[in-house]
Amino acid sequence: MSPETNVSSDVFELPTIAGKELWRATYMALALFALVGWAAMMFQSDLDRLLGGQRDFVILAAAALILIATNMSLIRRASRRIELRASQVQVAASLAVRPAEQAALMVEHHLRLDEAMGVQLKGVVGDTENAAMMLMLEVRKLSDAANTLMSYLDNSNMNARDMEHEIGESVAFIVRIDNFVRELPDRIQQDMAFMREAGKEIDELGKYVDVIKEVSKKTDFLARNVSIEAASVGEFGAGFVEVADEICKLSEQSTNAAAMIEQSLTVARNIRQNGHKFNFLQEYAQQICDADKVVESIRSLQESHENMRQYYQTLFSVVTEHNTCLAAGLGEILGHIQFQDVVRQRIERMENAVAKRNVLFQAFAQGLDTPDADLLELAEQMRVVLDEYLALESRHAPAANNASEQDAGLPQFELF
Amino acid sequence: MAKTILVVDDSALIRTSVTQHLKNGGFTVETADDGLNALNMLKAGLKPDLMITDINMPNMNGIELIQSTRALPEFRFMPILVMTTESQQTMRDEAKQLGATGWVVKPVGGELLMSIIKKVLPGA
Repeated sequence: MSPETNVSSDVFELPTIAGKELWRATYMALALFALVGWAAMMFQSDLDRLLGGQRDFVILAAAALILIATNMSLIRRASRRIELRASQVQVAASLAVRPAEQAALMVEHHLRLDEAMGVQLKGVVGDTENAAMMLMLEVRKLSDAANTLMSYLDNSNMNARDMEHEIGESVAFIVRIDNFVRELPDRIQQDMAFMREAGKEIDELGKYVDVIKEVSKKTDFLARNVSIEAASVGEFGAGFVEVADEICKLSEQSTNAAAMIEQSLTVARNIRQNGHKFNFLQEYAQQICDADKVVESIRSLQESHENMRQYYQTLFSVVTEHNTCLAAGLGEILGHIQFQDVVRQRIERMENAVAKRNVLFQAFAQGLDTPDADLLELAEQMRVVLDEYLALESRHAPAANNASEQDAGLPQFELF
Repeated sequence: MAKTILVVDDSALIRTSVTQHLKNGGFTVETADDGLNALNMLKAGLKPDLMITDINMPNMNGIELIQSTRALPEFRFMPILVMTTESQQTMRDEAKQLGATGWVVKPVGGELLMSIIKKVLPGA
């Protein structure tokens, strides 16, 4: 039985208690009066002897006194019992009111606690949002730096390719020169062979010059003899003298031409001898050797550059890969920071539900003091708040734990 | 020329995060903090190649924004991507019916976002 029921029964019992006590007092008085009457009848002779004519008065007085005393005693007793019951009723009544007050007090403290926690939650949301924003800004700087580095690496790679292309062209040019220098001895050999052949031809021409000289000498001798013989025959030989003179002139011209040819051949021989004396091949050999060394150095340089390029290309690839991973990681961090917003929204939904619950709590606490309050309706409203909150939560991700069967397993991304 | 994307979200954090992702991907990004501002930007002459919008926003939510955007003739075929914490099928169906192009549940990492954008904006 509830305290409220006890209080009600005690309150309704009070008039009954009072009535019972009065009836009891009356019965007691009547009983005493009857007892006094019976005693007066039993001891009538004795009373007559003792009291004489005052007997009836004394008996009535005694009966009245007894009656009054008894009634007073009974009334006092009844009064005490009524007071006791009344105090019990008061205590019971006070006990019946206290739960409502306590509930109201409890709700009040609960609301204050909620309010304080709400302030802290807002602070937490604000702090996490600020922290997330700061993280975001720092990550953004890192991301920008990663992008700048990527751009720098791309440019460097392109520059390296350009440089490699230029070096390749230069090396190709130098290789062409090298090939020319390498072919040069053969060409010189060919030229010298040609010169040797020319020298032989010159030597052969020298023989012809000697022949020409001999022919010229003999022609001159023959012409002179003809001229002497012609002069000895007089006028008949005059024509032969003129022919002999012409032949002498021709012989002289032949001799002069042979001398000039001989002189030219001497100059040519001297040139050939000087050419042999300078020994071009030896000098060229040294230069070719030097050229070979240069080309070898350049080839070595090209190989070194190629090695260096490959090394840097590998380095670029590694750095680029790491940088790409870094940029991707930073991108994922940016994504994860979005969880702060998800958390914020969940806290906001909780706050809204808690606010609705608190209104119902207040109404419930007030209803405890109100006889006609429908507390069951408030409980029903509380259930609705709960259902609405759970339904709202089930609509949001990450909702793997509380999603409805229909919504569970839906893809994170869907194209319509 | 870089393509332009309009990001609509009431959370500054989400706007900043998504903007960074998109800028890293070489896009030009415009932002609005609710549906109404986004709609005003569109009416004022902004011609984005893609719009990414949240659902739960003050003043005008994402569903209303999609509806209002599709009512503008020049944006009847612009791709609209919904990016939200909502994951309910009924909401997806409603957005689809109103003309949304796709639905993505937050949070979204850079790689996933870029792959989604490439699907929605071929050649981007």
